[in-house]
Amino acid sequence: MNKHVSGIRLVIALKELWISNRILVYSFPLIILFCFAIYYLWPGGIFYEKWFNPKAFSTKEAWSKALLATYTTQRVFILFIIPIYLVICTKPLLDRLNKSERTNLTPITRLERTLGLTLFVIGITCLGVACFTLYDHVIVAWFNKLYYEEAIRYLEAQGDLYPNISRQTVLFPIQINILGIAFMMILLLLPLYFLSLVFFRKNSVILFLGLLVIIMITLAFFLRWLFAHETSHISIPIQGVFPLTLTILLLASYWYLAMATFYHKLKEKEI
Amino acid sequence: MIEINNLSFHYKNNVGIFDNISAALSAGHIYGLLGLNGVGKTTFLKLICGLLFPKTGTVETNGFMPSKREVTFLSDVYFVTDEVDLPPWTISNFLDTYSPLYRKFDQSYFDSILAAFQVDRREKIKSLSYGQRKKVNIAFALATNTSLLLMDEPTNGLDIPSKTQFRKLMARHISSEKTVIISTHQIRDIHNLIDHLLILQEQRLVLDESLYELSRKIKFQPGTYPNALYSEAGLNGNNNILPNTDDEASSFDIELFFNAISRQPDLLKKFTNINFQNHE
Repeated sequence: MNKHVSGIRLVIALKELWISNRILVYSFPLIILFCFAIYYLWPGGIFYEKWFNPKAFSTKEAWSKALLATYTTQRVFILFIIPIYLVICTKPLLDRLNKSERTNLTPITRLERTLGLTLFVIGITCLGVACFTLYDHVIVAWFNKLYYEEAIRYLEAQGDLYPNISRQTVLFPIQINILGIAFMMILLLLPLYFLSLVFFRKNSVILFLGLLVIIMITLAFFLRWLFAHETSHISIPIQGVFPLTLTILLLASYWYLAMATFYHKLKEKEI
Repeated sequence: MIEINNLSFHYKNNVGIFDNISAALSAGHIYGLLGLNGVGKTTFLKLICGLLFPKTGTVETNGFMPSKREVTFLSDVYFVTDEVDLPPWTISNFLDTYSPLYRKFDQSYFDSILAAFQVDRREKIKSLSYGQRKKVNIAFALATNTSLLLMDEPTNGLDIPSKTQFRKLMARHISSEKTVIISTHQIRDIHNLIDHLLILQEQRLVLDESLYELSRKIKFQPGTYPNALYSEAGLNGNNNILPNTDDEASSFDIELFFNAISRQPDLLKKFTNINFQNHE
């Protein structure tokens, strides 16, 4: 069994993915920016109305009122472009691992392929989250420069002595813990996707989505049952070093087990 | 060296492909693997290189179990498939990415083969025709200098000058350390290259014999011979397979011989009477 990882072969495994997807990777930051543009300029939204229908907010007070009343945390869903991008980037390789004689006879070990794939998807995910965070902060800074003073003046005019703007408005970036949850959710789904591609030879993406729906429904029923039957007064803290460490360890274990299954499935695969 | 012992194989539908095949293929030969459509030629090649796993029995290639697909084994094997499966990159990118994986890769040899095939390495593989992509794959395969080279219909899609080039390249390529197995229906393209025949028929390897040994036992002659082992009507009269009782040299007609084996399966028994080796 090839347990030794060669740096050269690992680089080649990554190079395969890079050369096949470099245009997609280069365009990824632009795509995320485009998603932000679509989000903010979606017809019916306050920014769309402000820029394309100035009469909608004829006074500054009307605009400030709308700005403070509009919650925009849903923009975090732009991060779902990351798993879509990852599927587009990795599906050709995973299909070749299922079917291609040349790919399976290329002198790269399954461990190196698994590692290469893991590094690539983590890299793309980090790139996506980094771009999202950067754009979000820049856009929020820009909106703050344009509208923050107006919003504070509006609140003071309403009699609010200690004006407090909700963190869910466009004047605050998405909180780091929400980004963290989104990042973890993407990383949780990826191993399941890889396993689906190697276990289901046909219609793998549809079957993966079906599996996902089943898992989500099962989870929803379980949580509903759990909350309906909860009688205990014991609360489990989710903040702090120990729970965070435990969460990270559990995630890492899940990833390791899933990718180990992926690795062993590759070993058993006949072409 | 390829050792096949009591190999049996079937696909998931339980339709048998091979039943208890044994063979020993040694280096320094170009093997011609022949058989009717669907008999399992490609499957045989896949079992040798580890793409498929034996159901029973063993396959050992160069001291390795191919099914384990160890990287040391894979770096000394290349399989030229009938369907050309190359990435849609430039030839240079393909070369730069994968050549480091083969320790005996000869880049100047690759360039000279490509030049002989009249393909420019700056071209994008996806913009090449099927035949041109085949040439790139063959050039890469030969340049790897692997000790085991498997080829499935290598001349399919090649133009006539390229087939001539291919024959010249293969004749120069073989050495005492290399084994080449070519599976083909287009025997006329490579009949002068092959020095050992493997014929698959009805789940068995019915023939595993060198052309030299076969030529000592049978000869091929046109004309009318009532005692011919096998006769086939040709454009200029009958073509016959006769026992070579007088040790006469004749050009070995592989196509006629294969037709004889295929159309008259009991012909091998007749060959047995002239001390002929088979695997039944």
